[in-house]
Amino acid sequence: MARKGIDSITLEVLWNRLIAIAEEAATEIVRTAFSTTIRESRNFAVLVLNPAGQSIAQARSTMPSFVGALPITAKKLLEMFPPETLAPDDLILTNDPWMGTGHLQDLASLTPVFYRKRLVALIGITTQVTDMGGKLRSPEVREIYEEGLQLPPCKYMSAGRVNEDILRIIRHNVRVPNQVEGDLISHMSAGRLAARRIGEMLGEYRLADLEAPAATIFQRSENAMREAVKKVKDGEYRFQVSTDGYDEPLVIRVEVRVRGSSILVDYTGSSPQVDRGLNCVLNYVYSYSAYSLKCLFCPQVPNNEGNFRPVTVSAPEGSILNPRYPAPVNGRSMVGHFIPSAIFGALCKAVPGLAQAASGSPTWAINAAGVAKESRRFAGNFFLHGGQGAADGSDGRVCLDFPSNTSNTPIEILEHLVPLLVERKASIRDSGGAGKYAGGNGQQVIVKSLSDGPILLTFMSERTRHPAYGLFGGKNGRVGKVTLNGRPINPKRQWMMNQSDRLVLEVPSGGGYGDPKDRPPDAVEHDLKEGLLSVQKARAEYNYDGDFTAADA
Amino acid sequence: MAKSASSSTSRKRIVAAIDIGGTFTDIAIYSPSNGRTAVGKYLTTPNDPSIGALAGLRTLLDEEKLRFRDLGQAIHATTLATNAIIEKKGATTGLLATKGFADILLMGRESRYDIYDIVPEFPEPLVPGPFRRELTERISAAGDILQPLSAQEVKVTIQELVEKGAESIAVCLLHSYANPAHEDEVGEAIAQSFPGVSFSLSSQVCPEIREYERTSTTVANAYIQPIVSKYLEDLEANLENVSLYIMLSNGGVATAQSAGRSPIRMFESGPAAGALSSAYFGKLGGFENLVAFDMGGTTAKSCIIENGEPHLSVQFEIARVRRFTRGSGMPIQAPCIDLIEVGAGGGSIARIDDLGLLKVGPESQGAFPGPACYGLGGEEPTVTDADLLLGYINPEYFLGGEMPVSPEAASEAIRTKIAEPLKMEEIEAAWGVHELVNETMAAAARIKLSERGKDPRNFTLMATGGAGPVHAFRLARKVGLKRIVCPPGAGVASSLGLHTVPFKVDAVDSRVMPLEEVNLPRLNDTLNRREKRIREVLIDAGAKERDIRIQRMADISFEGQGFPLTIPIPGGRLKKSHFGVISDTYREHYASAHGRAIKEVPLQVFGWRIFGMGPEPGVTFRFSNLREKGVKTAQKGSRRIYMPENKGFRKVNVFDRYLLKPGQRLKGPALIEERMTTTVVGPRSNFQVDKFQNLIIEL
Repeated sequence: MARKGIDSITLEVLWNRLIAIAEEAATEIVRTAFSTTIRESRNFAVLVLNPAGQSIAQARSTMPSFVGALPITAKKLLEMFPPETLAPDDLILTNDPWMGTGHLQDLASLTPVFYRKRLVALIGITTQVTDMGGKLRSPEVREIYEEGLQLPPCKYMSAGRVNEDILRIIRHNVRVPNQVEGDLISHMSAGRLAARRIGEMLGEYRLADLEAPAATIFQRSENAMREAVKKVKDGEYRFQVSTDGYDEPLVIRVEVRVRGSSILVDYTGSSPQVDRGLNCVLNYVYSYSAYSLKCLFCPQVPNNEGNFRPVTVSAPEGSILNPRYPAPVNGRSMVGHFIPSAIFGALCKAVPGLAQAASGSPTWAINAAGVAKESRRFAGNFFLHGGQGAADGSDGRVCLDFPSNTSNTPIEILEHLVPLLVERKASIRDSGGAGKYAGGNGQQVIVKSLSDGPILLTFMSERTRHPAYGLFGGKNGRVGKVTLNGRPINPKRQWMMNQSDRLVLEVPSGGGYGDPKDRPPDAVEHDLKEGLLSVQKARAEYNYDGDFTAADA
Repeated sequence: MAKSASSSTSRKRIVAAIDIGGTFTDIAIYSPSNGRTAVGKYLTTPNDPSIGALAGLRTLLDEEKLRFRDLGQAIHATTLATNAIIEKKGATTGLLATKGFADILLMGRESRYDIYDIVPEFPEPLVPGPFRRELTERISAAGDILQPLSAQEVKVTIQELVEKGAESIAVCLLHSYANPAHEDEVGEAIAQSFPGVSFSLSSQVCPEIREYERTSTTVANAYIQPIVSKYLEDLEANLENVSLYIMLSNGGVATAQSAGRSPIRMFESGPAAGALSSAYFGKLGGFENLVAFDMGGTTAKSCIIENGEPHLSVQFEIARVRRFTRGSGMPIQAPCIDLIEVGAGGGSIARIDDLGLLKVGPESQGAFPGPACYGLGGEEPTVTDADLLLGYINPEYFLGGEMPVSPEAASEAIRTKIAEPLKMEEIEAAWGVHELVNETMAAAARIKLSERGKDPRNFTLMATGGAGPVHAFRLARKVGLKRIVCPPGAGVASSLGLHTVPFKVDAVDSRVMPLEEVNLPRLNDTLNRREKRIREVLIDAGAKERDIRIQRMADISFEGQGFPLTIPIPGGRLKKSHFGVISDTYREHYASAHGRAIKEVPLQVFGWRIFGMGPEPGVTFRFSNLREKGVKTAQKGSRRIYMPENKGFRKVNVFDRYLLKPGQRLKGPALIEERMTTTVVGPRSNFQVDKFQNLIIEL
């Protein structure tokens, strides 16, 4: 079946198989992982890479921020652990932010895959664990040393044997050792499963390695991406977005340079790095830049190395988007999640109909830790999301994660793990930006403590001062807000919550798209009925003159 | 010798099995006294499916010289519940949620099912905004009442919903799986004030943790409940004195009345019956570990059967916006036979995508216009067209020769739409379509097997459906399965399966806590009460006390994990000393599924389950109308078919399925024809039929 060059049909079969292998490994991770960040919120990625560390295939439900970074991690790890030092059933592990995905909670691993004694592939896995020790995940930190255990690249498992010393060090540094150990086991079993499957596939198709199919997959994907980019007029497209920052706003300035079928994304002019955990390593910036361009130009083709090839990303060293070690990076998503809105803003006129208004991102979260009864330590993350930005032909959805893809934490699961009581979780009426296509509403969440002792709280939050923008006449979304006992607090800081304290989070909403006056009356009616919109706002923004009353809702 | 499904009183009377699908209604009537079985396929009447079913039943009875009053009972599978949701034909439904949480249904899990699609579509909620209401109340994760219900508020809110037009009400309050008191109270209030309004309590429909999935399930149940129970009542009335039983998605049957109360349990009833039919014919031939594979016109479904029992799953999705994409539909938490849609069917369309790659499906030509070779105006190349060009399907004998097909039209479609754009030979293109379909199905089957850590070499492929036996051989080779079985009457497998099903009832008690902290007196009390109730239901359905089998199970994980494994536990009163056994059993199951267990981590329980089962019906089919008339010898001729091993055509013998002598061993390659399908046997294999008319191929 295998012959020189690969025919279209064999290629499609092999390509599907590689994706299925990544998918199977992802299923294994969800079933075996302990951290809710992984098993409930699906904060992980699985990639099949070639021995050079280039990505060939990935699991479908996977984190955009991990997908672009993992191949870079793999290449760096291979420099330290060259192929001749690897054996079957090894697991290389690190959480180095500059090698990996930008903060210590992300554990990245490589499982080498051998076939007939040759290294034929690598399985790359990144998972975000609940806790890595240090200060509870918060941008309040000033140096990376406060953020928790730094695990330089190491062989966590050699030929099937776990390095017990490393395991002990990890267990001793984290608040929930069983969870983190369990998560590491999920890396091992998923990696091993994928490795076995690749061997079976090579056997079935009488291939010596993945070189031929990978080369063709890369070529076809690269061509598809380049064809789409070519349709854009050559030129420099610029945009700028601002974030709340810690005390002072931070600026992301982008210039997207299109030349023929290639794209350079340059972040010159963005804010300098800060001494708070908001710095965003270049790997992470690259990941979200490449992701944004793929969403615009080539969303249907399964992602791989080929899609990355036409894209170059640069950010000045020492800037918020390319900080120097040991800058604190704990809350890097609170800057990095703005990248797609910067790129969409720059390209919205060049690719009419494709770009989307800004979403109520970044991903929000409550991180809680403390001691429950019988001195049981708990630590948990509660993810919740803002409204989605509208696009041409499509309203933004109420509360949908973008650009990240984290599922929310079920309230019933959260309340089992931490002594918190959620009193309300509801869409905020009228909060989505008005437009021909309306931005999605954000949500309000009210939380009380059920613990006798204090609970340590930190947040992932943004857009409390800088709203999600609307496009082409669409209005901005509403900003977010965090209050404790009725008083607004700076959510970038760490807080203590005592029994009977009341915490209210209002997660921002998405921007609208197009002039609100062009919104069809039946769409306005629909939103009134669904309780997404009030009659007052309908009259003010959409010239609504119907007789909908509260009794109809 | 043979017993009917339920009661001894109907022992001598005829049993009718009716499977109503989207296009066809399959009927199999069975006589318990002598095993005589007749099968028929009739067009479904979509407006009122019971009309077509009853007409078909009368036709088949006439042919068999039987009368309506010879019927004792009818067992029924239907797609009605699924269709009601897809076609949005359910009742106007209200939702009562805990104060602060009515939007859960709207928000879902807040993530996208395709990361590169920035504007993903989701199904519209079954309950529109004005019908989503809240009640002031709160129960904690431990099941304690933090805020009691207000009877007055309950009354007023229900009244408002009903005045707005709600015909059915879903009640889903936080943590009700741990303490159903509040939901029970609301249910009583509805029953008292509005006896005509149906209601569904989440603590009864789906007592499991995770509020969105539980709400989605309860709402779906409430939405279809009124029309499903009305349909079942009407059908029962039309069947006069025949007692009506319904096939459930989990492989059990229930009385029409009880199925009508929990219609979400009927979603996959047809395919579930198909899986049971595979299990039944497998057991007859001594094959207990099966990959059941059913490939029809628009889709192929698969299910793993181990030790004669189909694998069960606790969740599935309906009304997907994107057919094969998990997360694009509504989640339903209900026990069901773990069926997965593995890929395309015979009518699925092959095309070249933007990257110049071959794709098959999910778009399908259906029965009309159908594949190009039907000559009914379809111009797109389909899987059936490819199979025809490869010689696997006999153009003279399609549906027993009743339907003419045109190889020229198939050739034209494959050549112009696939071969020429890809610059390859027409026959290579046809083989490519066949191969790609097999690969897609193999990938899905492999994932299913490995999710549970199973070695494919210990499994047999059981192929049914019109296209199943055509593709089975190459599929088995890909997955590494060593044997294929094609049962008799594969075209109406689901309706045969209905005859083989024992009564099944189950109950679950969901409460998440460390195993060590389980309150044993309370648990024993609950389990005993549930078991007693299950026995009563089974006896009502006609089972004898001594024939009832009960199995208790527990959903267990390591503390901190989110997805439990369901493992068997000892019956009777549980004692602390049983925990060691439970723990060992769990660790064994876990290591077998995931490679290794973790030593120090303690266990947690998600819930306790009890499964009750009536006696196996013990049927023996003697088919009266399967064999074709006129054919005299087993070897009816020969034909040239495409063989990838030879990169070309090769002449092989063609056999008539029902004239093969049991026990006579023959060598592949060969073709074995029957009216509704053809079995393709590749090289390096042997085949024979056994005394139960199973066609067995050893690879």
